[in-house]
Amino acid sequence: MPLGNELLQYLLTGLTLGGIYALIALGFVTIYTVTGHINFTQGEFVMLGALTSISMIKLGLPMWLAITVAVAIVGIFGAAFERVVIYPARNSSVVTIIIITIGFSVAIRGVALLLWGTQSYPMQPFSSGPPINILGAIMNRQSIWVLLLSIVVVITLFIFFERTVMGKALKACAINRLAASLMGISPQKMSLFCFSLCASIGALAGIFITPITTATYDMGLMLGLKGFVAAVLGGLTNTTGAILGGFLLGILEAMGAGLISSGYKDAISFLILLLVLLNRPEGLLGKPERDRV
Amino acid sequence: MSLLEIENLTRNFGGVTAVANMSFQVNTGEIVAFIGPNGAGKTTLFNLITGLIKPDYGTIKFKNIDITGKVPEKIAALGINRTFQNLQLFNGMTVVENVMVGAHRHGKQGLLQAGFSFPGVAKEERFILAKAMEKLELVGLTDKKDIPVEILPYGQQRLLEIARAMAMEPKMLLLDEPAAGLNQGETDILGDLICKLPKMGMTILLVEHNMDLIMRISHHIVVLDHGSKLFEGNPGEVQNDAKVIAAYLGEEIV
Repeated sequence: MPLGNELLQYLLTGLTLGGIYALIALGFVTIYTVTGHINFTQGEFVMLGALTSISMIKLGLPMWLAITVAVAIVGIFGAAFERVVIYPARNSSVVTIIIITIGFSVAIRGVALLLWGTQSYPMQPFSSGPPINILGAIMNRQSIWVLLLSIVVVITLFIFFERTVMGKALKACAINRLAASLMGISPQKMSLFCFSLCASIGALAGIFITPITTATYDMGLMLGLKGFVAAVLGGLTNTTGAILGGFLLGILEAMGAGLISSGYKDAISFLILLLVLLNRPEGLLGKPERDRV
Repeated sequence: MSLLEIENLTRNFGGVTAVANMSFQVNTGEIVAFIGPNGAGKTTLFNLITGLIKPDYGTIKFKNIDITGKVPEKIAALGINRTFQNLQLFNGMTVVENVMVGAHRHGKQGLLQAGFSFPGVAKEERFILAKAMEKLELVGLTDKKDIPVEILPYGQQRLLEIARAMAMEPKMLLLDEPAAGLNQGETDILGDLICKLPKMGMTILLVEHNMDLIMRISHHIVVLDHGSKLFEGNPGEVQNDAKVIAAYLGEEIV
């Protein structure tokens, strides 16, 4: 295969991966800006979405219903997680909360292992048919679904934050929590809503990627970390940055895997994380740290 | 009838008593000013009323409801809003968006509707936008509506903060040094604006150092010193009270 075609192929693979990373990164960024917490359970929401939808399909539900139910269940789970785990610790330090979320993600993985075992579960692609040929490069139909999902989620979130009063209230809460609470906006309710929203987005990402990668109880660990790398790459407080960070990471990973060796795929991500944290801790698009109230 | 009743309110910071055993009442529709030297406890009093800090002792009743120790958003929901000595605007949002956040309470849509019903959301957005524009008109910032707040001149940021507070349509509005940093022209506009607020159903509590402004617009003045109430009365009485002159206004040099 000529190099041009090869690069296009890696680019397409990278865009698919990047779409998923961007969605997970959005979860990190949204929760961080609104509540100030870094939530390392984000990856487990992805896993729970994937495995729950598979179980729902096994129960005989049609695919669209199984997906809807799974997203709703994970959304409720996210809200419950905020109430039961984050809310009681809301006045603890940032580090304490990070450790709590890491600990809880290990616990969720443990329970998932008991419920679903170690095997990997396949899922039917959303639409059948041969892969699509784009200028000599091959793209899975499911990859197109993944890209569509990330575009739809990003546009929906944009409309929500920019065009609805509720979204503005959430943004206000992120910018100045003190002033927001004096406007009658409850930061606690916003936090609850935020966790539920991000859990649902994570679940969607997990469901859409499963037909490509299959689902296992431990898929959330790596995806969550990659999403975090993408979020840091974009500056952690910047939604646009998170999306760009996701796609950039996906493309770099795919290029590295293809041109060097697929064994280095994860190493490349974490090398990027280290380089960013050492040289530009505010991320590519982030502003230097500002005071939080 | 009295809208706000404060009884024996006390708050210490370490060994310092910021507010000591303070009692007073505010009637509906009044403009009440709090004056006193720096450290007299004026801002602490505002923080106590709006729930940002909790009192050690005493009660705060608003519309006969005990609001002592409630969280800020609950108190705000009952109809108390405030502005800050050092501005607390939502930087990164436009002028009109800031005011819309203030008006968000008037939205009828809950979380779920906001997520699922686009026509409903659009309608509500228009309703809240109209409310916000109404308030911007009152402070004369209509033509600045799409400007990011951080590039607005300081005086206009102050007016914007008041517009945002008004958008909540509170029953009681607390203004913490609204004239700080304003020039004479801006201060006059501000004074006229504050005078209009009681007619719109708002009771005003005011902390301010600009004596001309206070004497011109307030109905009732409470003089504080070292966390205690030194005197209260109408502007004429305050200007002629020997204790107040000694503590705060200063003797006239002959």
